[in-house]
Amino acid sequence: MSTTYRLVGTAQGTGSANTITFSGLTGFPATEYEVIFRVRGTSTNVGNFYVRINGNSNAVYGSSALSWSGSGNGGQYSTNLNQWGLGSVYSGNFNAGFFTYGRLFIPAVNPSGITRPMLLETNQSYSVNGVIATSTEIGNTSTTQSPISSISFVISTSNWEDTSVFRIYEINRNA
Amino acid sequence: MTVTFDPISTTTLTSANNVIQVSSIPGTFRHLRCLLTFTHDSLIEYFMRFNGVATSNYGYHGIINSGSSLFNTAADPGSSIPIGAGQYPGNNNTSFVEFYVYNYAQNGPQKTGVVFSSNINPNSANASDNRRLGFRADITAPITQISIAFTGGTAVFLTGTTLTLYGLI
Repeated sequence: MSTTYRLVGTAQGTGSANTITFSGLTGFPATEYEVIFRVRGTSTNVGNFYVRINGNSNAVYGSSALSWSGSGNGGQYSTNLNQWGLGSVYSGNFNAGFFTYGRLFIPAVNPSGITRPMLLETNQSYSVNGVIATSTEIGNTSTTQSPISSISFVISTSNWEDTSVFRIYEINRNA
Repeated sequence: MTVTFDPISTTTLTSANNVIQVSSIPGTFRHLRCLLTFTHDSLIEYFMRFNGVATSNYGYHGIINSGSSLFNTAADPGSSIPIGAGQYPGNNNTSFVEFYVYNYAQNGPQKTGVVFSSNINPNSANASDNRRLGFRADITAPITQISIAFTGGTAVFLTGTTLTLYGLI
């Protein structure tokens, strides 16, 4: 029986914390990690969230973004970031049910001494005013990164609402 | 329990080569998920083809962030699918391409899919290639071979470059 794509953790917001962390990740024999999420912030504002690997808040992240806001394309590039990802979260009215859906994909879990590529894909649909926002963020961590042992999601302007759910899957191509 | 996500093959280059290829892909799944992780020595584009078809049987639309600009890319028909462009050559910078080929084993319809690729220079704000494409391949036979190649100059994928195929049902 294949265990190639395996759920290894689930985390949920509490409404009072702005950080969700998957820790104790063992890497090998895993070759890839993927986090699937459906999230919302506690404030009624649009806010960004970002990712940190191994708790590292030094300027080791680079980022290249593609986005579609419903009215036009956007993109940007940044280096030497102390955090990574601009996936925005539309908190909205609690009863309106506006969530952000997406995934974080890390295709090279184990090697050290490399820049580590990552993909963050988020999708939102504001059904009230018809605006759709999608974002694809592809970036690297620097050569200082060790094999991945923890992944954190930090929302910048509020806390993760208790309806927010993250699930992390481990992929093992050698299974 | 039904197996829904299974490794088909892993191909690893033991020496530098301008192409990485997987053949004899079994038709026992519904969709393919493919992952190329690599290092390289070039700043030029690399392309994907199926079943060795090198004629104008491909179409694609996409968006590219080069760091200094954001632009659209499209061709239909084209003789291949340009899935990325190398940036920051050397052994320490891993890049990747993730792509899906839907209904790859069906005999009859054209094949379609999506591509995400990342070639990012962590030291320069104006040297990256990050793209997202949708593509079609006017190939009605089941897809049994995938090749990804630098097609210009002497550019190569370096030793350790890996192409993994997963099958989804």
